[in-house]
Amino acid sequence: MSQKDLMKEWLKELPSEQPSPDFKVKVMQRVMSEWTLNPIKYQPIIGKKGWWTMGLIAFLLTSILFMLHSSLPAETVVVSQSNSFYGIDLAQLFAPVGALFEKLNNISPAVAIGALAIIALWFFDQLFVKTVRR
Amino acid sequence: MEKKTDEYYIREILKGDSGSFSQLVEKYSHLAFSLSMKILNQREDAEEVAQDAFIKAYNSLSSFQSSSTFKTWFFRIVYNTAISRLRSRKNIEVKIDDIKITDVEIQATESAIGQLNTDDRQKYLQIGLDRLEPDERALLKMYYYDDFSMDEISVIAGLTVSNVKVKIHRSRKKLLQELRFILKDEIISIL
Repeated sequence: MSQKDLMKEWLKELPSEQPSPDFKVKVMQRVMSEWTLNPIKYQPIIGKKGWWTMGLIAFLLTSILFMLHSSLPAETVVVSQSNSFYGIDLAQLFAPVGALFEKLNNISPAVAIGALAIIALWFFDQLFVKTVRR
Repeated sequence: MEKKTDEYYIREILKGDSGSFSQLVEKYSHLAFSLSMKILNQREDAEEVAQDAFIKAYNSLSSFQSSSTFKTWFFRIVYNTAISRLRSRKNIEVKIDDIKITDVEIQATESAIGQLNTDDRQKYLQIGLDRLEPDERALLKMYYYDDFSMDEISVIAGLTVSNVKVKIHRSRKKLLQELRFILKDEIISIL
């Protein structure tokens, strides 16, 4: 047996030192009194402001793209789709976006108004809850 | 109950669930107390230091970096708190290290310890350990008893790995020298 193992074996024979039975209770009492004095607040990586900003940007981008797409005549869209940019086929790249906006264009006004109403209601609900909490 | 990782409990505590800290207290209270006991050699002080270390860990949990394990990070706090307490005590006896034991004498001492019955071995080892410096006792305990690696001990004690190696080697030699002194009659009878 090596010297290290020998020493390990002997030291492990020593009775382990145990704290008093109420040690954990005492620690937790102190932790809880610390917590009441200075509670730890959870700070998410992306704050609420961040989420709102990101949502707004995403909404604005989608709206701009939608408006741009809608304002272009059908031929222009076809011509632009045949171009390539640094070897990347733009037609292929924009095809799904175009298809999505085509579908959105074809949504009946009743459905669109309904969706907008739901979003508006949710927004006002959030606003109301926040105001009440303050 | 299913045991979760330390990281899980830390995340929960940082979310505001202070009760999760009890899981960490449950897991490390014994080790924290025995390490501070090895350094301070006084039960009341050791318990107070272990408690203080837990509170310090709780308060600075948000600064805990996952680059090291919670265990290593926490034991660094325990070690430093115990050493600070030790320094604050008055009348600290400064001993001059004088290790004179030869390799032959080490072998004879180890052989004598090996021949003792368990109760006697425990008794003499405890006496020998009590004669060491607090940091020497702590290093031996961490390395031989708690199975910490040299790298972990270097983080806990704030020393370089090579320094830890040298200190553990010297502490072990010093312990054997003390045991040789205590067991001189037994060793003579063996030789």
